[in-house]
Amino acid sequence: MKKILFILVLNFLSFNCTYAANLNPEKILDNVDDIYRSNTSHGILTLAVNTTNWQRTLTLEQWSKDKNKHLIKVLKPKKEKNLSTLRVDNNVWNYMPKVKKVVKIPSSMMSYSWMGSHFTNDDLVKQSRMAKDYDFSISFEGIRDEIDIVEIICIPKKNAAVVWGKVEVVVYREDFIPLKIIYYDEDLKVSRKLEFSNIQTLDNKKMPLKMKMIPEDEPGESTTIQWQEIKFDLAISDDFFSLHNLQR
Amino acid sequence: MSAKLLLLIIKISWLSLWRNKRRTFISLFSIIIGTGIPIFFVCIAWGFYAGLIDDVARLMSGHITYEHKDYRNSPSNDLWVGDTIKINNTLTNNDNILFTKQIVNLQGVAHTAKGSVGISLMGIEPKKEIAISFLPENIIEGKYLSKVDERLVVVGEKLAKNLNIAIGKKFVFTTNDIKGELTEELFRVKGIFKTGSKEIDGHLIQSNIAIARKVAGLSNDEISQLGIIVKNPDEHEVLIDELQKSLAKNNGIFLSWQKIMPDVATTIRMDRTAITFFMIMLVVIVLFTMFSTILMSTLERKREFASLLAIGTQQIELKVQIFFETIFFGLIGCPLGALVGVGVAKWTEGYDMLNVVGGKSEDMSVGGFGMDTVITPLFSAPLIMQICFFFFLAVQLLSFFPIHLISKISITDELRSA
Repeated sequence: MKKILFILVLNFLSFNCTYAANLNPEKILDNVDDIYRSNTSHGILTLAVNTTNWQRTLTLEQWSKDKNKHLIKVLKPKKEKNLSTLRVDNNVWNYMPKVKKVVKIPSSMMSYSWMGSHFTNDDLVKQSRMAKDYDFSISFEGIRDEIDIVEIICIPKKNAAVVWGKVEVVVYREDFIPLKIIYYDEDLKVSRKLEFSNIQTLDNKKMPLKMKMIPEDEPGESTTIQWQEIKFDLAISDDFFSLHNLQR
Repeated sequence: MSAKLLLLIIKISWLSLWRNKRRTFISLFSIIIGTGIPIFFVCIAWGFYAGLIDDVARLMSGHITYEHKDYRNSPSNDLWVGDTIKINNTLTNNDNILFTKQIVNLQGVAHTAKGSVGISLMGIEPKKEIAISFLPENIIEGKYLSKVDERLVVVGEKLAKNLNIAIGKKFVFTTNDIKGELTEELFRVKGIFKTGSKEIDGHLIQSNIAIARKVAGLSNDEISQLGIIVKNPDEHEVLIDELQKSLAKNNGIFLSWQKIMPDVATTIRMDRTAITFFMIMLVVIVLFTMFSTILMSTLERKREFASLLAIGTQQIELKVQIFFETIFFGLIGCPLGALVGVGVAKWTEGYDMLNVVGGKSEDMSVGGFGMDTVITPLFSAPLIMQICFFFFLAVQLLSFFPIHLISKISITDELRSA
């Protein structure tokens, strides 16, 4: 009887190992990095910033091409309409329609909040790929809180320009769509959480339409991005991401 | 007046001084105090300024700085000077120069998981910095940099607190390279320093110059600033002209520390003006005291002078006598005053002014740079001689009115009043 039980346990473990071996963490991380990316994209989204002192909701229109070209324009509220941000490679420009000025964001302002949210200008230009900047391994797979998930632990490489001490990426096992990303500081205390929800298929791509950033050291505060619509692989030329278009 | 008579009058003047010792000592005391106090203040204040200038020059970019001609107006990362190996070698062979230090300055932002702070990264040569600057001695945790440290840095105590970093912890530095492109680099903390200056402790980071060059995209021959520590800071202006003519390239300029750190220069200038004004007021008060003692010494001898005049002594002889009495006062009082001033200044050497004025050392800063609160007087012989000479001259001038009174003495009135 003990022998049968041993064989059963061995079989179970080997099954799981085989199953884990089939999972490619690099592919999962790339999928998470590219969840809102494609060759090109164009969409409408809302940005809701919730702080202890004020709330603010913006409706934005965005265009992107490859991994390094983005143009974002404010549609609503009216008083901030046409406030725009252009990112090309490592450069970010803001256009302020009230004063009709284009301002290139210098390195000293990279830490400043983007549109008053909990994202910084630096978050916009970050081109880091988790698979490139981190050593990673699957730390858990299975059912947790009644959801079948895969959890990947990412530890920054020695000289990678990454502030985090550890990043936990949790995805649905079924389609590797992210459920949440937890960022830890160097002392391995939770620093911020990025939660994904409202998974739907838009333009034949399954993706979470809602993304919520929760800073751990600012209780009660969050920034939520909600996609209203998005289309991928449209024909957008490189010239579209120009300072001229930023001001239109 | 014959020389023999003059010698006799000088002798009478000297003897006359010691006829009334109390009066003489009071007069001498006022001259000694009058000379000693300004000398004491000047030694302390000028010593403080000299120490501050030297500390700031050694910590930052020297008494003379070679940099891009536009760097002063806008110290951005893309304004650098080249051909510095050749310039540096020439400077090293100059007898008037003590040290040179190559610096790469980068303005940017340090990020940790806890937040971001705007900082100034200063790429330096650790070995030279240890020889030149006081900063390596102010490491309060960890160790200072060495040549082999690549991604290690030393950070100010306040900055470490703001970024929530400690020894061995990391942060990401974001800046623009010389082409204007954003660039990032990971650094780890090797040491934490405390200079007492809020600005330096809150914003300065030092790294090896090699990694700073790499981040900026500079070659081995290019730097932001070349700092020059001169042997005699008082004569650095002359050297600047000479260096500008012989070594400066088209886009480079040699500047004095006053132009590099105008805040410090202005503060020192203002402070010096305030001290000078204070001393003028003090000198006026002291001179009045001296004047009254010299005047009294004449007035109380009016009857004596009347008697001398009655028996045929000439007015001019009495006037010369009083004049020489004041010369003796000056010759004795001024050097003694200088000795007292220097002696008291020497006695206070090494004493921490915080023990007197209270407060914290970090609150003591001049133009953003921490101030050494320990007294280190500067004994400048020419300056001390100048003050002595000034007081000697003042004493002689003060004797003119009492001398003038001799001619007003009425022999009959003075003798009758007896």
